[in-house]
Amino acid sequence: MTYREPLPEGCPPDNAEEITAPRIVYRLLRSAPPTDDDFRSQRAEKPHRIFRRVTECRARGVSVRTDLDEAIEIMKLPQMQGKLLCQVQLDNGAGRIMQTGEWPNHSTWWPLADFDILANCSVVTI
Amino acid sequence: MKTVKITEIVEYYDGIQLFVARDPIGGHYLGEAVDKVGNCDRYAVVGVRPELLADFQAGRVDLRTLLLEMPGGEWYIMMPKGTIDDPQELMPQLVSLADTDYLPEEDYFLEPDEPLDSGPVRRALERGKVVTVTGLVEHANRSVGEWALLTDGGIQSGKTYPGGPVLDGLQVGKRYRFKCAQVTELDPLWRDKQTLYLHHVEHV
Repeated sequence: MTYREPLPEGCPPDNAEEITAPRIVYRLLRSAPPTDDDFRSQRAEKPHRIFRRVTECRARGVSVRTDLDEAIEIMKLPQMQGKLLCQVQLDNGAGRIMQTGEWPNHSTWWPLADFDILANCSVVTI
Repeated sequence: MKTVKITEIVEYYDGIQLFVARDPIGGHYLGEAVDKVGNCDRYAVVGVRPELLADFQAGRVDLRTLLLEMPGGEWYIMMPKGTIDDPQELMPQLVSLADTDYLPEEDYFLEPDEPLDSGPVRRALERGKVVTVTGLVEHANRSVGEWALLTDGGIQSGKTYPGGPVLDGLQVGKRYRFKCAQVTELDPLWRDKQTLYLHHVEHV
């Protein structure tokens, strides 16, 4: 099983759920159409950053929202204004996912290399 | 130069978007990511009244209102240096925050915390992440679902979960064996912590 980005030992965590059934998650985009760059991890974006409050494993995952309203809500923040929203149809072979943080609707997704993200991503009209 | 330490991350998406911080004399602050300089996030930080901050965290006040209610109208820019665990310097700003592009849109509300469902506990049990703790009940608070046992190795504490055993009938000072699911969670600063969820209890 090869992940899209190199992951440290023990990552994803044991309690990350393997995606085996269809589900939708939401991700913010810089622009349309979506590109692979929209699905880069924090680590890929910031190779030299020391993430003291976020584990290396989590830094190598991708933030997604599992609830549309919650995804729209975060677009109100200054750094997120002007971004677009896409829904990603996950299915068997998409990788593993885990709810992270204090909120039930924020998850970290570790995509498998073979999962075609862009083919399963569509921009949401708000 | 004023400094603060981050005490809680309240919004995260590809990095810290909102955080709560305290200064050395206990003042409360809220920081929001506003832009990037190179790969470094920049934050607008405002002092906030604790009661208004509590209202924001409970989902009763929106972020924009919280930021505009800053005492004295003072606000700062913070660019994290060193490690984010270190005290961070705040640079006072002269222009009004309301005249910048740094305010969120109206009606950004935090969702109040929701209780854990049984999913993480079930997955931990399926993966054999089970810890058995034997000791004297030190406290068992049913209303908040928290317990602690005094064991030979010290105090072990944990929680209950929906659908799991409740704490009714446990007697403080009596000896019990708790079989618990060990679940990896995040503390308010997003560091991993191991939490024990009571799965089975027996008097010994």
